[in-house]
Amino acid sequence: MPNIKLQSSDGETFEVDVEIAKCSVTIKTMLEDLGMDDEEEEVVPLPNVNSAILRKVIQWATYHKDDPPPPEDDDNKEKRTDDISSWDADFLKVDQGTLFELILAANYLDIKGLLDVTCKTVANMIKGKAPEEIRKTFNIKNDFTASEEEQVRKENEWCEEK
Amino acid sequence: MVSPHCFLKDLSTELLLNIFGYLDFLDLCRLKQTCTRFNDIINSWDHTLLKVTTIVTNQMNPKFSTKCMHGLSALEKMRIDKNWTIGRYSEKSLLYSKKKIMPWIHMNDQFLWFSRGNEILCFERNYNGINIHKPSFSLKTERNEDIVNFQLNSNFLVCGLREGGIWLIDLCEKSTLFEVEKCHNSDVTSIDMSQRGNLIVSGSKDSILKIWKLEEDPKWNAVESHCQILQDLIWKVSLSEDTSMIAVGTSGKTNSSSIFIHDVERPAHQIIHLGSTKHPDKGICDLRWDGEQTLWSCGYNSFLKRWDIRTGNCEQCFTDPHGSGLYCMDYDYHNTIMVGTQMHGRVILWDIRQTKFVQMYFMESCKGNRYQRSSPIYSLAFDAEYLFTATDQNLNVLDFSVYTGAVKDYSFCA
Repeated sequence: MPNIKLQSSDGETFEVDVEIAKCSVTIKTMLEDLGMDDEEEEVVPLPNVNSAILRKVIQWATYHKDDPPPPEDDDNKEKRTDDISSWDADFLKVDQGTLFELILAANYLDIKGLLDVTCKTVANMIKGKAPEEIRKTFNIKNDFTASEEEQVRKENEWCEEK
Repeated sequence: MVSPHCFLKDLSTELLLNIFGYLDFLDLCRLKQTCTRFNDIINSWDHTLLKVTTIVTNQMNPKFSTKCMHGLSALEKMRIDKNWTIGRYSEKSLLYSKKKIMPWIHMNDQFLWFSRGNEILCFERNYNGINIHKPSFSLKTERNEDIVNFQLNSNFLVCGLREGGIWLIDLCEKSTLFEVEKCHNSDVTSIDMSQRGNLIVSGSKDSILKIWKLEEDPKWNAVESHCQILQDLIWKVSLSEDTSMIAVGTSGKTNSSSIFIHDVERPAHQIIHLGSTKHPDKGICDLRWDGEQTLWSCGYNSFLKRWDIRTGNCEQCFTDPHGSGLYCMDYDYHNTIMVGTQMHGRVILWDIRQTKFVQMYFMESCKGNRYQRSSPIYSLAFDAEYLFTATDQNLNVLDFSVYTGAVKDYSFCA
């Protein structure tokens, strides 16, 4: 299989199987639009992804290279977050900064499967937590004024009942 | 790892919504309380980003959303959907009649039409259900004949009458255009009218299906264009949306089938009849087209069925847990069907993606004697927040947009 070179924002070059690189719709479109030939030794610059993240993305794409294409979003299908495979769960045992950078990279590179699984992971981190716990978990600054906070709390009080 | 400076707040709104879409209602309410940005995002959330599908509040199909009094935000959809599912609502009797009647209702986003006895009333909808005190119009039949069934489009309202008459009302002028006596030899049990154009179909207890063309020559008149004799009493007629076909539901007493599809252009030509001769569906009470190829039926045998018109096969079948007859239905053209049953003022809610019903509602705030509660639901209509039901003496509204109130959960009854 022919390879392709991907260059991260900090200048590191990764040699990847073209088919694996093409799980990114952004790269796939780029190759098609630019008519890049498999023969040529060209380098695809990815200015929005650093080498640490790009390495992770390639690792993910390599493992999932034989997956069937992800299904289109279907309104009739209930969205679940408990269907993350154990490999993905292990793969995403990373610090929060890396997780959010993976989301940004998956979004930029347009890799639906990776975006879905990273977003689900974050959603799972939010689930079941009280507002203060969510703030603590994600380092969110409470920017409500005292009266605003009281107002919002009141608005949402009833939903805590059954 | 080399990424210490990336936080949840650094994600774009679009990406945050991607994540929030996986959360349920309670988590979203808690998330709203963390900071102003999340509060704003969730409050102004466009429903198209909602990944958790709702049933009654989905407002997906335009035919349903134009019937809704309010367009709902994503959060409101989730909140109100939960109320439908667990059975939290406030119920009110809007109208009470001393005499027992067989009413019929029709609803759009602004008005509710209601027939009782020889009278048809139209009310403006509001937060209380309807403005009871000031009907926007009310008309009585000229010969005191009772109304059995009616249907309307943007210009006309047509009624099928007890002694075989047909009555046409001009909705702009709010006046009678004509009332024809004895079009049929018995009750006009069901009537339908094309949404555009001038086609009327009527079915009667005299087992005759008639097709009419509305003509203004020089006065408005209905000209009978076809008359088809069926073997059994007709309970329901329904025109397909493109007005190419008529579905007819009968008592099924003599014939092995009780749902027939006729070609409007060549009415003598029966396209297909539905159901097996082995297990015929006797006594069809209501029919509803879902696109050009699908038909919903319900009736006395307590089954709600979805039929494929091309093959004649029953694609889905739902059974009333109490085994009652099913009198009437309303549908959101997406995933929610509600059915009114024969007894105890009971309505069943089905999510068509699952076989077990979601919830049941019993009409309780009915005035009148204590036997009232045994009334059938003769007609019902719902939008994302309200359910209107017509029983033998009451017109009720159930408001599911409430924040508080007791939960009446019958979902465990199976």
